[in-house]
Amino acid sequence: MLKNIMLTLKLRFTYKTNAFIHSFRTIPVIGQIIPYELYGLSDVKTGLSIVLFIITLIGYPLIFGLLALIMLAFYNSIDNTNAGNFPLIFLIITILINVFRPLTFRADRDSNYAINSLGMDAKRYLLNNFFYKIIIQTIGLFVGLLIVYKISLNGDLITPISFTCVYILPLIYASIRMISANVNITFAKNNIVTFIYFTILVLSGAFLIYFRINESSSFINLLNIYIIIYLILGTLSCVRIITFKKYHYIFKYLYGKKLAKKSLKEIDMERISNTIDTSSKITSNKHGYDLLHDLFVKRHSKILIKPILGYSVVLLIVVIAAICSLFVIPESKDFFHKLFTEYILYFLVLMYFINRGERITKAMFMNCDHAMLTFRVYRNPKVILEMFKRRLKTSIGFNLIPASIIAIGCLILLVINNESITSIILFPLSLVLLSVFFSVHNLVMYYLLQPYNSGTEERSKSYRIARIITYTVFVYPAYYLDVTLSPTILSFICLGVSLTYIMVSLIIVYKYASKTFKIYY
Amino acid sequence: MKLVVKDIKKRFGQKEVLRGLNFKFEEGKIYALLGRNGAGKTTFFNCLNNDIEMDSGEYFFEDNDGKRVDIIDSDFGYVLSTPVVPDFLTAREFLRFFLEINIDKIKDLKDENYYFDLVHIKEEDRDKLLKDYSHGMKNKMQMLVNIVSNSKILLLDEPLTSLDVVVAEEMKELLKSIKNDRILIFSTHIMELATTLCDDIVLLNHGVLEEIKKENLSNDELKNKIIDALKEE
Repeated sequence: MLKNIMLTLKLRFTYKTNAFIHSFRTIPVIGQIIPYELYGLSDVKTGLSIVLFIITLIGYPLIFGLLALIMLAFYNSIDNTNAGNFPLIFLIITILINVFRPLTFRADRDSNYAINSLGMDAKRYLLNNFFYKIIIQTIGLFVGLLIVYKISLNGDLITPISFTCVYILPLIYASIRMISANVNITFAKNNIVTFIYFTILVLSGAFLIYFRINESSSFINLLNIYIIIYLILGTLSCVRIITFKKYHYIFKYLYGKKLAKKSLKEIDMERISNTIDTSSKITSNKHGYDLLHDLFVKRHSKILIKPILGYSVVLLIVVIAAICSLFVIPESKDFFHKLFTEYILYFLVLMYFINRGERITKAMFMNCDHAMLTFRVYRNPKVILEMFKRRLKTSIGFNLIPASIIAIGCLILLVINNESITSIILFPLSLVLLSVFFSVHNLVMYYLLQPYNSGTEERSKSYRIARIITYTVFVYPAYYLDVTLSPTILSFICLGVSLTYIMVSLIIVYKYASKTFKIYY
Repeated sequence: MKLVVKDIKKRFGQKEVLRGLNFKFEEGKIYALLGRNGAGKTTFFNCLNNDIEMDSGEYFFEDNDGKRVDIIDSDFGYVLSTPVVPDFLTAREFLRFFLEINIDKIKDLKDENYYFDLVHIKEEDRDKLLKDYSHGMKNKMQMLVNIVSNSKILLLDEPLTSLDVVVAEEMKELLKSIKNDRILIFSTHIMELATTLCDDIVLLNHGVLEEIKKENLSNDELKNKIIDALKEE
């Protein structure tokens, strides 16, 4: 028995360590330091497994403790008037966790390797994994709650309510997990029953909330009944889960069903592929690379131009409404003055979000470059640069549609509002340049950090990190920055940064794209 | 004209996959590149096609006078075992694109339909989007655009493996018909193909290239010779 548990855990942590090493190796710079040979160093991997196990052990108390802290933050103290609230909120969260992330006997790839490839006993493997998770989570929850209660209630754990919260709630958590898992194995082939079960679970939670609000005097009694029912059902479920014999069939059935389903990647690929406009009316009179680009743009209008036109119309309505409001509501003048002076950085956020970036480059790769980059002639530096220019022009042009609406709208509002002449000139100009800036940035990142491998999977974290950096550096500060600079200076900064960035990045693409823009094997 | 491969080396981490490849591939011949799984055949092709960087070594053309001639990008064509084609183009547009970008190299430009006939793509399929093409048809298109590009070297990475017998036969005939002014290097695991379709057999074994002489051997004798060579530790 113990040998089996150890074997299951060993396998589990082998997956985890390998996945950890793999994801670490995809991080730029740091990833290159980590040698491939690490996969073969069993001592290092055992050490890493222990570290990951400790992190798991600490992780659950930390998560649950934090949850308890957040919940406690709503109450200064726990007394008879709000005694039931904490268990109530906890129960609702447990129910929601069960609905959205049920801890069931999953027929995933790892289980398939263990059961089908390595020939492990299905019941032992699945049960070991299931109870490992239940025990780790329940203990984690208990420790988290214990620490929080010890601190917040000065070590007083003898009152009935604190006893319930620290000792009973983790058992309720485990019980609901058990009940859900029992339903999972008993009605694996019957989705309707599973759906009814989850509906009842949610309704029972809703009923408890209703009772708390309307019949608070007898709420604690109902809560106690709930607790007893959950504990009894949980214990019965636990016995059934242990004595259940047909895990092998259940696994085969669930895995078969999973195989029939498409993976997320396949669904995403299909979605990207479905963005192609199949209308036979779309043609082009252009030649060579112009033909390739022209047809790509025309056949991808669903993701290239249509969404842009959609929100351009919305922006146009907003702009017209804003201009009208200046004439109809005189007080709005102050609002717009404030907008163009104090909240100017929010325009940066707006320009960032209206720019179509990742989805376009993903379509470029999946539907065009993935195939074309296998032709050496397409990777010729001159061709890369020419295609880059064509795409950049198109991208800038498309993104300028909403940007121009905002810029012209702002120009009109600034003029009507009698703002300074520098603001009138510089602010709309900065908006246009910001739009160009984000268009350049998205495409430059794609050409320099081409993020996909030959299997159209994300091969490196560089691209993602670059996107996070962009957001952190250019957009995130806008939420929190206390703007003391004048709009004129800010506009100058925008102009300066945009122009410099555009120039520098174009030079970098010119020099390096022929080396970086390729399929990685 | 010959393709000279000189001392190409490539390692992945500690594993030295290509340990110094040396060979001269001659024009007008189909070479079968044989090797065991993981021997480095695709790595060799990827090095030649510039998909991955070689650690050392070089490759170039040698003309009939023994003079070195540099290779340009358009000299290489690569037909992959799993064909990838731009889904958003129709077969005709894909072909037209390749004809147009290679217009200077094509001596006797024909009508588009002539080329489709060459690979037996039916008239009703010519204006379909490539995303709706079957594996075999995509493979034909990939082969076709490499042919019209007039690539002097055609690298074929197990291109016939997943084709049905009729298409495979058509492809074999096509390869034979285009080999005259080209160098075709054909990676395969199918011994039958190596011995019947190809003029010369080259083994990639233990990270080096080695030619297997046919020397009037029967097919069975040749097979045994190849297997013995690949078995050697």
